[in-house]
Amino acid sequence: MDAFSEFIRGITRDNPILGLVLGLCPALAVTTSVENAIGMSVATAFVLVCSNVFISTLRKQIPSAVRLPIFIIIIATFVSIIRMVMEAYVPSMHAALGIFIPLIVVNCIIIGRAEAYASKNNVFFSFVDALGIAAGFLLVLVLIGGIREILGTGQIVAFGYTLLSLPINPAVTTMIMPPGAFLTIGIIMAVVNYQRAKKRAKGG
Amino acid sequence: MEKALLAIFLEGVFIKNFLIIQFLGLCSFVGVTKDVKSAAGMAGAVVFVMALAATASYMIYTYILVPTTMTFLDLISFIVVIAALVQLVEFVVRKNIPALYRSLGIYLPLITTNCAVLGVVMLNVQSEYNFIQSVVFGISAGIGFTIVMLMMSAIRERSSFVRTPSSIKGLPLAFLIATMLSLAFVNYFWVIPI
Amino acid sequence: MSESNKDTVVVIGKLVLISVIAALLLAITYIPTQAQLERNIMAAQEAILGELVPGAENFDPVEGPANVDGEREILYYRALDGSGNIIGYAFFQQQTGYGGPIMVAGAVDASFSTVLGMDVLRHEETPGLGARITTPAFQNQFDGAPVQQLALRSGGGSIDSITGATVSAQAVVTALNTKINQIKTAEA
Repeated sequence: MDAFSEFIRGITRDNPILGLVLGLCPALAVTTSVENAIGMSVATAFVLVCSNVFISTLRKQIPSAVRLPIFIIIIATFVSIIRMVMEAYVPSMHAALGIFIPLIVVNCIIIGRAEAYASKNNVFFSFVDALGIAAGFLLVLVLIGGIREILGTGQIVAFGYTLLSLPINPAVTTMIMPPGAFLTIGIIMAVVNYQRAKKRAKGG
Repeated sequence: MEKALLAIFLEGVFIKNFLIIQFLGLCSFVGVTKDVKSAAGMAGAVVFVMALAATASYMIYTYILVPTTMTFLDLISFIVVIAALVQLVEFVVRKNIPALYRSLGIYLPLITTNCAVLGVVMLNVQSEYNFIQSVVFGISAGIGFTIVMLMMSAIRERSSFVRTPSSIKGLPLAFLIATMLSLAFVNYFWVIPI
Repeated sequence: MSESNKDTVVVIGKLVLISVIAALLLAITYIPTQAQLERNIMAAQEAILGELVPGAENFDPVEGPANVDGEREILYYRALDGSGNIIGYAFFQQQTGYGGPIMVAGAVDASFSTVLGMDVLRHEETPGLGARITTPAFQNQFDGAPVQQLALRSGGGSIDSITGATVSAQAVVTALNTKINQIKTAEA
């Protein structure tokens, strides 16, 4: 088991959204722009890394009968911390993400990684696993956010910089409304399935 | 004048529909809508826990956290309450109504991590609803959740008879169906001014 | 004590321990972030006041008497120019409208003769009717309006009411009048 392949696994095979199909709610709800997608991913990454490292450190101390309540308390603590910090120092981002910051608590990715990985592996690999999963989450969120923002508003603006603009007139506002989220993820998943099937056909 | 209960109700059911407008509870949405029966079971369990959680969390927030100025513990106490409630409901239902347990039982443990339940609770606090408003919002969100779960599962049952390319089968198809449902909700219900 | 009882005690002890640590960690984060939050709110309020009184460099809060908890409420602000002269007074005032409380920010010049501006920060009025108190058409009437005539036209003043939403428009006017009179008395 080497660290690099564990990291890459989080982006490809165990990609939280496209591979494990976990954490769909934030992936669809806050991806109205690239900026929000990045903000959400960073907040989730913080919680994921902290809780994975913490749970892995304590894994021999946590009684297995009450491990889920303990995981939930640990995760809720880190979520509350990032929520208070964001509210104080990046209030506009906090307002844009709304209740999806507290809802990181019930993001199945985090409790799923705690249960499936951090409670069984050492601290270093739990850390790497969290980084990999967080990177996979970030990439998919930015992809969905990018597609929706460019089609929905005709340009991608993140943190004050215009990254890309397309001459679409009028812009397809539906894309930044709820239906656009479902459409985008449906098409991305279909493409991923197609690629996987092709790979399998070649290999087999 | 406080916000009318009817307005809160309609918002909960249609305009701010949890599943396809606010994206809350999507895991169960794509997970258990393959057939109508399990969708109905899941929806029933969610509505029940939602109403209970809205009541319990209101009590805790108003009578414990606010007087002691410990509102920063809101999130952690809500999630613990929801987890405890789910355990309690599971225990009571299994003991007293075994028939109901057989149909709802397997969905109950999934509800702790269902963001729809925590979503109701957090939105109630955020909107500063009073007790009645909180409960009404909890119930209406549950009804909206149920309606969409049933619609979705019925469409997915039918769509299994349709020949689709293999890459679209399964989740991608579910999301494309959700796209159309969501389009309908957005266009019909966002035009009603409340 | 039997072996299984001991285990139960250990498990419960660990649960309690971890809850206490969690609560402590949160309390430690809460204090600095709360302070920052209050600074953010202050900054946001000063930004709003700054728009109402364009030439102001500084706002000096005037506090009321301490309440039972020893906290002092800020009654209004003296708007000061670069050299510290009072060029006007700015304030926030809450007034009950038709749908609920309306939060109004306002400013008046140093001689209490002209309203410098008005802004509605928060309201729960009916969309399309009372909510029109936030439109520029309604708000711009207040810029430079003489305090003497600060009333709706129906009451002999210079402010056009909103058709179908007199209660909302009146609430805004009342809020300004009440506060301006209060400040006038306090400063005299």
